[in-house]
Amino acid sequence: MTVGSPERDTRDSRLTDSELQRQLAVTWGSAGGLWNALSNVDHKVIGRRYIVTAFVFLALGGVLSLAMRLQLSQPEARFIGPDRYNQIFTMHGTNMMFLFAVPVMEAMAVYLVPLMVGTRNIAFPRLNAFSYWMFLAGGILLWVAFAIDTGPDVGWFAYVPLAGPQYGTGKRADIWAQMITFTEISALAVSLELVVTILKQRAPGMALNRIPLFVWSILVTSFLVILAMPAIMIASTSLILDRLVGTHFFNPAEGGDVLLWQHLFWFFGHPEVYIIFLPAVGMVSTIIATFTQRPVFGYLAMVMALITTGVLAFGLWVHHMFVAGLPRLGASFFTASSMAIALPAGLQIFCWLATIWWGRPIFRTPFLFVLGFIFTFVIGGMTGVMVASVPFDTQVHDTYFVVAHFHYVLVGGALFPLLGAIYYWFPKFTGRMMSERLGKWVFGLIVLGFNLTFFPMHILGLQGMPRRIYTYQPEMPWGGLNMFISLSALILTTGFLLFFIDVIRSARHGKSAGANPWRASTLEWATPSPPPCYNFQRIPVVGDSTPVWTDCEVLTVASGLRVDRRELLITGVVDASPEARESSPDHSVWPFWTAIATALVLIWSIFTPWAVVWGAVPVATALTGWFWPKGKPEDES
Amino acid sequence: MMSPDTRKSWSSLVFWSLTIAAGVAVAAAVSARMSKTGQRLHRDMLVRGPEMKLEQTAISGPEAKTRHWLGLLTAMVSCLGVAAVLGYTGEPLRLRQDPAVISELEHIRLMPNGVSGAPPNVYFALNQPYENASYNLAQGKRLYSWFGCATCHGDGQGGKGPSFLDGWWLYGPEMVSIVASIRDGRPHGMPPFRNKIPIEQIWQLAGYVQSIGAYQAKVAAPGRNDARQTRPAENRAPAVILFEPVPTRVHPDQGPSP
Amino acid sequence: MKVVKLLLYLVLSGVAGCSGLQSALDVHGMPATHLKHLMTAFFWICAIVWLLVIVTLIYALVRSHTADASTQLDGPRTRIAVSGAVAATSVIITGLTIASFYTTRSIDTRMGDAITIAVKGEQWWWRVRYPNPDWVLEFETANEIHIPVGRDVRLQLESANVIHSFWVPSLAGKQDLVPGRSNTLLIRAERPGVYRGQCAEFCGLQHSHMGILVVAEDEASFSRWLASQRVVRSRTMDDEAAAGERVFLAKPCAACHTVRGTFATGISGPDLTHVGSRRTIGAGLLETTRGSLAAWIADPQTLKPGNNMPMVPLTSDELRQVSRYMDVLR
Repeated sequence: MTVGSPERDTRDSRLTDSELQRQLAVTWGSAGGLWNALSNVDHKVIGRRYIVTAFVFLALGGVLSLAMRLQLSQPEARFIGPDRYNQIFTMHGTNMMFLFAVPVMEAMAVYLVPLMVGTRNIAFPRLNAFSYWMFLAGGILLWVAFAIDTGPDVGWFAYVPLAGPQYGTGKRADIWAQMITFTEISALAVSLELVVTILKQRAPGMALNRIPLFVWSILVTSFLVILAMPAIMIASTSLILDRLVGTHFFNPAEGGDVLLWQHLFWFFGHPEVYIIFLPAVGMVSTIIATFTQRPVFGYLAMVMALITTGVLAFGLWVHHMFVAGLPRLGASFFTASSMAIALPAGLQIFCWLATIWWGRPIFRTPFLFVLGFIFTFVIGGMTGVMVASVPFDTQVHDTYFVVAHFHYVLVGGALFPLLGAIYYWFPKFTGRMMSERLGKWVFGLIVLGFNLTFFPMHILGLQGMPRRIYTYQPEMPWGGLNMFISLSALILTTGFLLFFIDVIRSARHGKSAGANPWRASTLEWATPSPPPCYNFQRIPVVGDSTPVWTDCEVLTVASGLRVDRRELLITGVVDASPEARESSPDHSVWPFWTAIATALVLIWSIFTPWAVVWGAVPVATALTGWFWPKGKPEDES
Repeated sequence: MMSPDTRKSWSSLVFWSLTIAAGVAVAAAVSARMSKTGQRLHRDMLVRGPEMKLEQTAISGPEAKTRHWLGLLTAMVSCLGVAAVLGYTGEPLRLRQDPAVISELEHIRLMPNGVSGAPPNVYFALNQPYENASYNLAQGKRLYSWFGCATCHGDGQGGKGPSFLDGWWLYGPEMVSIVASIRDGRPHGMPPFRNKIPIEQIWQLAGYVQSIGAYQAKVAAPGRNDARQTRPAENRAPAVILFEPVPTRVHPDQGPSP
Repeated sequence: MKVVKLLLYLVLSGVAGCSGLQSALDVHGMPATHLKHLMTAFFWICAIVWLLVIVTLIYALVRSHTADASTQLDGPRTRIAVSGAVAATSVIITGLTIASFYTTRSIDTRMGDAITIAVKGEQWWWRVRYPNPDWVLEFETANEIHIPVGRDVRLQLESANVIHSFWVPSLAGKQDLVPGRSNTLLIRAERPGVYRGQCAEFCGLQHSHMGILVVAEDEASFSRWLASQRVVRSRTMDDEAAAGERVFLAKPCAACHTVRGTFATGISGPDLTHVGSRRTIGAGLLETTRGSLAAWIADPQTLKPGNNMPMVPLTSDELRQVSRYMDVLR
């Protein structure tokens, strides 16, 4: 870029607002049509697809749980046989963890983080598109397999030897392991994009201590994904190799080890819980700040709590294996660490309470969901302290007590904030408000239905009802509570149905929202709703941690970005001092083809290892197309 | 006096307390270095670095319009709907066969020389489950070890009895021949298992035996056992790569009577 | 309100109904008693903490906010309150951690010499062996463990197939049976009784029907039971049972099951030498009666779909005879 080039000035400095908007729309926008839809790399479009897809999977997983509740409502019921039931509970867990909870949190981040840090697109936008197509392909693989009676039946944890070659017959466990590969690839890609976006694309002045708490939580989560996912990648790949190629990672007779699987799986599996929970924490902080109209108390403490949780998350995995027969020292070490994680969690709760204490609460639906979150999640945290204790755990491990515990943590701790977040950001996504009246009904039905459904499971667990059973005998004293739970599940279902109805209705007929309907403080509200394809007309400049409260009428912005190519402002990691202008890649259909080629390899390799060799050809071709220099303005810098 | 166990427990407590204390120290250090940078600095850096300027604008942009993302939803739901229809028409795994079907499985028709023949029609009506469903093949593999087949046939490479891996089927590779061999026995040492194994289990076992020496790799195959490996597993590749060029170790007393 | 009442009723009746077959709250054995004390302590502490949080939250929501609209949020009072709460949390969790350490220790202490019983997880039943240096005195049984009251019993837990988990909540916490490893679990029943347990680790199609009974009895009855299990063949058999034995030996039954003293020496299924004396069949599936035995033999795949016992075609006479035979194997 030569300074003051004599040709046409393509910077935005001297353009009028309407001229600037027109030119930016040409550079950043995308025409309609299927082809353009497949090649779109706008983070908002992809984020929206991600969110919608993940909620479709939530609904499907919910249907499965209803099927399980039907079967368990009576002793020795015969609605569903053991083979189908095992597939159903495996599908429910796998679907909810890998196709709903993790992707939906990343999806919210894909949509919101670039807006919250004040940039025009996510870093590596084509990788982002690729990650969505991979996620979609993985989900379709799993559900089509289930539909043709090849759904995995080994539990979402797929313990060997049950999932190994001898006992996991057919292709069911292979489908599970390969579906993991799809979601691993997509999660790793998204995390990488988010880390780079957060560290290098923040608006000038958004130093580390001014990053919104949601963005902090996403940063920590992304590092957790990057560090934890390789463990499950090794695990699922070794499982596939054991099953298809005849290796012996988990075969004790040939020097393998059965518990190795559990170590690898839970080294990923425990951080996974925090990968789901930490973004929810960020959402809670955001919603509390807006609905008390105060910044959250103890910003530094909150950030440190997030980081501490992230670090401790890697020191807990053995508490899933307390009854596997490990040495006592190991067990007590992991008891201490599992208890210690209550400290950062408690600290955050106390900071939120302090904020609410001094703030003036505004009881709108998102805030109600946060209250539901505190009520429910603290119960989950308490039972978490219980199962962290080795002796306590020996009685409740693998019982319905644990089922209740982790639903309290995951539904109460992550899904409630997420629903609040949907109510909160829906106006930003669509430009329309969701119904406040319906919202209160949704909140009431879901929180009540959830507690009625899952609280009795604690009691069932103490009464000796193990997990993952497709039925129980009439002489066990579990029939009444199980029937009660199944009926309560209907209340919960009604709540979710209302939620979906509200979303679909509001997307078309909701009240128009305006740029900042909640009077919130973060940058995503400093642009119209829904945001234009270029996010911000000019890049905002930030002077504190609540920029929109400070500049509520007039925004301080930086001008001087080119409008004829997709220019972003790159800033420093710590102080977000402006460093350079750089172009962001244009729309491309190659990520879509690459995802198709990769999906082909992964699915084909379930049937023959040669797929890896021959399937590499289309993947290489697609990647060549992806990275081929096009001579466009985007290639200049 | 503390027991070693208690000492270890205490030391893990101390470890985690120290870890958390270190975290607090880091937090204090970071807070001391927190940025107090104002907008003025950015004005200068914007000009020096990416050659940009600082300005003030109002929040404005194009009007909101409804997005038609419901199209995506419809596409996905219909895709999964197709899958559901597929699943509905498909046959689920049968753990219990009808007794009438089981007794029908007895009625295999062999050629007069005992080699090859026709299975009962019900076998085709069931879609040949003992060759096509990996559940049955895995059950067959379990029965192979439970009924001591390995005492004579080893891991499939033979021993006292013939090998299944040499590409040489003394009575042909058809299911009916194998079922007949197991059920009725064969000359030169193969005992009849008619009263030891129910007929359905004989079919499962036959399916497995056939897959040991299959010429072609199939999607439905039993996995290897979690045991010491003496040969590659059945699901790896067609056994043809394991075949030795000539029939191996066929004892003169093995095979059909002349 | 009605719903809440109903819930309360159900919760209370649920807790009251905890004294049952298989409950972690209805304890009759050494480790389980310690565990129940620990669980009670945890429960009350956690319940109080939860209540404090919720009361604070509710007060924070309903208190009048007009007065301090301009109050500094991060004033020293708030800081002290939050730090105090964090400090209290750390004290509580340290206390709970230490409590669990000491409970673990007390569980591991044993009194006197222990009886060893080998338990092996099968799909989907329990193979129980009472080892004895004198092999004549050694015997195998299934799905039912007899132990003397007040003595330490060391269960040696192994698996030949997938992972199972041994759990009799009234006596002790659970312990996995892991292929390629040998785990042990120490139990001691304090009162005579029949305690039910169940496999707690997902192990395949019939994970739901893998029950086990632990029968704790006084030293005298235990010795009597041991002696009776060692007996090979002194039973009185009527004609029907004798015919049943012939059917049993002629049909595939004998290929998988052992009846000591006969030619039936199969080892893949449970040992049936004293099947009639066991309280249940099918790993806790049905109470042992002649009728349930006949039903099980006639159609095991309907009662327990996917289990490894095949349906053996028998005429109704044969079925009657075999069930009679099973019934007299006491």
